[in-house]
Amino acid sequence: MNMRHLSFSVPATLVFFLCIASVALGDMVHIRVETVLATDASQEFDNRLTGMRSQLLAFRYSAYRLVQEERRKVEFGKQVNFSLPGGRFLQVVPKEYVNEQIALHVMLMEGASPSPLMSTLLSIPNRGMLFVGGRKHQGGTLIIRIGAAADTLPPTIIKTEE
Amino acid sequence: MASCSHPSQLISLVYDNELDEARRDEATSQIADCPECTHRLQRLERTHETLSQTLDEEVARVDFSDFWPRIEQGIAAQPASLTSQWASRFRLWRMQWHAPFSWHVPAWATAVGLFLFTAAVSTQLPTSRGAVQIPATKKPVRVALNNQAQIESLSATSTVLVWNEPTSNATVIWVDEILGEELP
Repeated sequence: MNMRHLSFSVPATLVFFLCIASVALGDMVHIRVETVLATDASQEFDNRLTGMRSQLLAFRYSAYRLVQEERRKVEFGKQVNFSLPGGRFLQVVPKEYVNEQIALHVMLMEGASPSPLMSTLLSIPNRGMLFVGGRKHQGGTLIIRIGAAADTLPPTIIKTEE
Repeated sequence: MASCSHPSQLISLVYDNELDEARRDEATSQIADCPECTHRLQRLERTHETLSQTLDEEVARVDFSDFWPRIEQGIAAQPASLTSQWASRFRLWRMQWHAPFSWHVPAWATAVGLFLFTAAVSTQLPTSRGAVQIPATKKPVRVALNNQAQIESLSATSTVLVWNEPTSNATVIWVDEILGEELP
């Protein structure tokens, strides 16, 4: 095989395997974590939070600012960690997907040697969301919105060992 | 004139000094012994002499003093065509880049482009089971009308309050830092 053939076959092979990999990543869960700092210091409302304005206004703060947003794609049963302001982090494990419900194990960790402040096993609708709040940060309170969406219906119900 | 058995090119080769020394001596000897060859050589010498003399005379009559100025004037007088200028530049550019050009770069660029296209298409295609795809847009698409979570277990090291946010019925888990603090 000469160099000319190599110059075409190598990219072609690479494309083939990358395409296969991208299709194989189908049965995954999109996890989105948005961290909002709510305060009473002003009346400012971050324009980036327009999509959840009505939900945030249910909390009785006067100012809301998006301090962090992170999206991850994770397989069922795999753990994903999100760093939060103030040295905290959120650990999310999507467990299973049944009846349009995504089961999640959510842990809020805090401290130098992180210990779980809160741990819950719950199910939210596909493309649903959950709020976790209450931790103080920079004179305000953190409100974390956790959204989960399954890409595809898994061929069978995926259950993982506890 | 008596016929000559020597090859006709022999005279030219000797006259143009194109033979090595041994062969030239042999050929010169043959020509000297052959009256016809001697006559041909003399005729060739005369022709060359006449031609050289004529050319020298013609060249002497030509005035080269304004040769380059006239060429420059001719170039300046030629109307400048925008198309021809660009064509010339393109030809120069192509000549300049022809050597280092390789098909590797376009091949890789095509491969990467194909991959990105395939990845984009594969993330947008609906699945055979009818699941609706979630577009990877910046803003979330809120499809779930009732976001209420079904809590199986919940544990915490501090006070935890749970309620449903009224707009989308999303569940709120409030991990209270200060016990007894007023609810948000």
